[in-house]
Amino acid sequence: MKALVLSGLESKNDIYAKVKDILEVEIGNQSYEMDWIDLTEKEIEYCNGCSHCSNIKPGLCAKNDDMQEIFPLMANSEFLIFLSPISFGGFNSELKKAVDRYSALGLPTYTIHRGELHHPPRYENPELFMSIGILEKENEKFQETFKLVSSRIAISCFAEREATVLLKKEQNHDSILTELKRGLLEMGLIS
Amino acid sequence: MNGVKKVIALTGSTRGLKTASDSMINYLAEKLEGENINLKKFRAYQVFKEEKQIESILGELEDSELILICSPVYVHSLPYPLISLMEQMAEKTGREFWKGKKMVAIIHNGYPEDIQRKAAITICENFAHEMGMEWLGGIGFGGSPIIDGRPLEEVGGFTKWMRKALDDISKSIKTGKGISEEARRCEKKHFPSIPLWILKIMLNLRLKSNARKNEIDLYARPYVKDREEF
Ligand SMILES: Cc1cc2nc3c(=O)[nH]c(=O)nc-3n(C[C@H](O)[C@H](O)[C@H](O)COP(=O)(O)O)c2cc1C
Repeated sequence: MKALVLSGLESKNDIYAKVKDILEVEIGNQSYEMDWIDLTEKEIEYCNGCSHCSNIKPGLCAKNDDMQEIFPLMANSEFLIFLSPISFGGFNSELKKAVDRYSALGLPTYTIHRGELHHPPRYENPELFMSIGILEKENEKFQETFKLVSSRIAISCFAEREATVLLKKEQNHDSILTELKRGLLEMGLIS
Repeated sequence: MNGVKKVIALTGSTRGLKTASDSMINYLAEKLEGENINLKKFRAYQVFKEEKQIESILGELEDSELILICSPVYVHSLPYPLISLMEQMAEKTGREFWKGKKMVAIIHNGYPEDIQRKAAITICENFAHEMGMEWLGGIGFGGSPIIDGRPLEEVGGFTKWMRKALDDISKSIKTGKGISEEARRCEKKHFPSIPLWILKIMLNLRLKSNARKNEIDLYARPYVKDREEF
């Protein structure tokens, strides 16, 4: 089984290595093979809504950049993880540049999913979706918004189970481990 | 009291010059001009990679009283270039810079339901509070692809309530007030109450008939054959 981490977090952040090490062990223990993409090192253009992936060559993004190697990984992951510093309550721009290109992974057709109109997934839907947000400082409104954004993304990628993990920039290894395990437990991945 | 004389509008669309965001801002700019309020528009995707352009927006912001964000929803949030622009503006300034300024957001999207716009509006609100601005509120409109970059009047009945809401917003901008009850009433009336299942059938019929006509395979899987084969 495949897990994919899309990270908008710069590796120079102290918390980066801690989160990466823990995820490698904990997700590896559940027999997932994990791919980790550092988006800060990738050349990714903004989606210009050109409709190529919906109306011209469905499923194929017209932009020839680093997303072309990320799309197959996204299409094949049973477990999708988004990691990002929290930017005004949402994902930061580094993660968002990849997330905005998500349309290529959806069908242009419409369906009703959880009582709302959505585009169904073009490939198998990820079973699990987890987003990990890093807070600069305590901010309840940011936390609340981040949970909302995460749950909306989980719905639109048709994930079966989801979890949102909120971490603070200065958090130590043990408490990060506790929070990440809580997320995995919430999705029923560990008991 | 007339607190607002100059408005800086940031649009989030990345789709060029003829977009729903531009249609809305152009409509509002005309209304504001009638109130002697000057609106300057910047498209985030045209400026976010250029330091000089960002400095020039900040320069324009210095003597303006209100920042207006008009953006489509991209994947339940604001488009990447707009988020990047907001991050860079925040990085280059302190709360002192934004003190006394006000902010309004107009968020629009494809899907009809309010919940599809909620996160994007809240992110704008968070930005306003983080910068220390006065948040005057956010308003949202679904079904905006119908506008297709046309002037709102030309679109006709579909933009009737949107235009009424924008008329009201232009008045409340003039007096430095928030989004009024009247604008909220228009916002609620904007999208015709069509059951989702009918909307789904209509949208799929049009899509599939176009696909047949243009001989395209809507269900192609170019990035993978099968999960097992990967
Ligand atoms: C990359 C991308 C992502 C989008 N995501 C959403 C979405 O999550 N929800 C939605 O209702 N519409 C979504 N849309 C549709 C746009 O909000 C809609 O087409 C809007 O009318 C575009 O406005 P514009 O003409 O100003 O570009 C998305 C469009 C693009 C290009």
